[in-house]
Amino acid sequence: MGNDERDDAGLDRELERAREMETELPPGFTASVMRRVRTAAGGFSLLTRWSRRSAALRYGYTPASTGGDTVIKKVLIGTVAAAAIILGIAYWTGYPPVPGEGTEATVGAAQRYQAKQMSDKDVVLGDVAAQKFLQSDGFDRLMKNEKARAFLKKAAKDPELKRALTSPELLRLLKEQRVADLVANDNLIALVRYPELLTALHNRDFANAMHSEAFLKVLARRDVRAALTSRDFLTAMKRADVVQQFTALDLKPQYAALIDALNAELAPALASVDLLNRFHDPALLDALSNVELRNHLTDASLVSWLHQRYAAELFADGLFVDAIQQAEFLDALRLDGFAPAFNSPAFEAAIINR
Amino acid sequence: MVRCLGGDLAAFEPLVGRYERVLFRVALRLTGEYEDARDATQNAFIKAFEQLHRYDRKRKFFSWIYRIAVNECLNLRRARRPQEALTERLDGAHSGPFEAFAQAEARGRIDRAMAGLSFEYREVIALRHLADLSYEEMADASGVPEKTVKSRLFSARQKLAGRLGMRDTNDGE
Repeated sequence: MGNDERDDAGLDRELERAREMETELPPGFTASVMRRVRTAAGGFSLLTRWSRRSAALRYGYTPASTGGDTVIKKVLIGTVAAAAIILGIAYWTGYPPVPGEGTEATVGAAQRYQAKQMSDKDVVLGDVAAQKFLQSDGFDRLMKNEKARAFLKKAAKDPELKRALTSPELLRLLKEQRVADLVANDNLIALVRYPELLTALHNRDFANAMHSEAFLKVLARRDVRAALTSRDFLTAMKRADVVQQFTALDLKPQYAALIDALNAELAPALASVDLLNRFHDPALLDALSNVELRNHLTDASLVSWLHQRYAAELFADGLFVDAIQQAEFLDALRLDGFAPAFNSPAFEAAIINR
Repeated sequence: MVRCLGGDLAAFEPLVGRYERVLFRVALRLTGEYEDARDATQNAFIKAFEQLHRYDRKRKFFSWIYRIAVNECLNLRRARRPQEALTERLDGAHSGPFEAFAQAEARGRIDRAMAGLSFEYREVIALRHLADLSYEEMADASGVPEKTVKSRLFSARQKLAGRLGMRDTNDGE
């Protein structure tokens, strides 16, 4: 009986200690979940939206600003009615007049893909660059590429993807040949999925260490990654006598490279649990073993771009990855007028109704 | 939660913040793998968000999302390495100068001892000692009567103490 109580107290102490040493979630976990939540919400069908809305109302949900669903309905009906009246007037009176170049030509370009769905109202009038894009051969080729269209169709319905794809920074960078050459590269695609790695690459020493094959090989080992997240281990590696003992062991080159790296004060960059846990992925290691790519990744402006949230979002999308490897898609993104054209109803109609 | 159903996505964030740690800790004990635990936790939140309109408000939110997380843990473990026992993975089979550091720090005594327990035993210990749930909450979360939870926890603790060498000498490994 006494022994049991002692056992219980001992067990409780062990469990408490284990709890205190518990591994934590990677930083940015909440943000990552919320990103996926937003993406999931964007893909809800009308039925799901309605079901959720009904559930909310059942629980007594009332939108604070409008006073309830009835008001929303009235506003929607009013807006539709007003739009119908305005369109009716525009149709019968021909006002407002069409400025600039002929809308007919723009419609003509778009009609190559869905003649029945297009009308002059589908084109954003006055946006010469958009019109020019819609009439270009680049647009023609883009619309004929299934993979490009599959992604554009998705992006047209997803405001976040749409914003990411038309980001001025992305479009400006793609105009640089070196970026255009790199962006469709499989290795880069594998790399962009690891934002922690891109952060760590800001550290010049870390970026240099990435040039060592042996170093990458050793990082892929599970026991090494576990050791690197251990404070005791990192402290021990700072002691000259310990390092000496390791050196005396005539270690394999990869261990020697790791110890060199640790001695070069790389421990903080390497000790990120989230980062280290990525190194088991063959795609990542394959990407890092590409010397040319690693050279690009020491380019601060490129790394900074890749580290943007929207870049990670785009590259995390399988359809985008398929699309970006299509010359037609990449060429179209590099054309002036892509962004305004993509935001126009004509473009959306062309993708959806083809 | 109701605001979230009404379309306010930001209202889901506090729910994630509140439950992510505890779900992850439990998932880590159930899967024995950092990556699996993280993925299971993340997938559980996404699935909970997608199915929020089906959630019965009479139940505690944690109990509901916990069941989703458990299913995710089981799916991930099945998908990853169906043939490999948890014990083997936590014990590791590496040799080299880093092994001692790795095992001593990252995979402590409790890890190894718990790895040898059945899924149900690991679950009750994790829920009680890591998630700090009451017996009633544990019963709701694991879908068994409170009485079963108590007896299961008692047996689990006994087995764990045995594996830790507490029933015999100081170290049974």
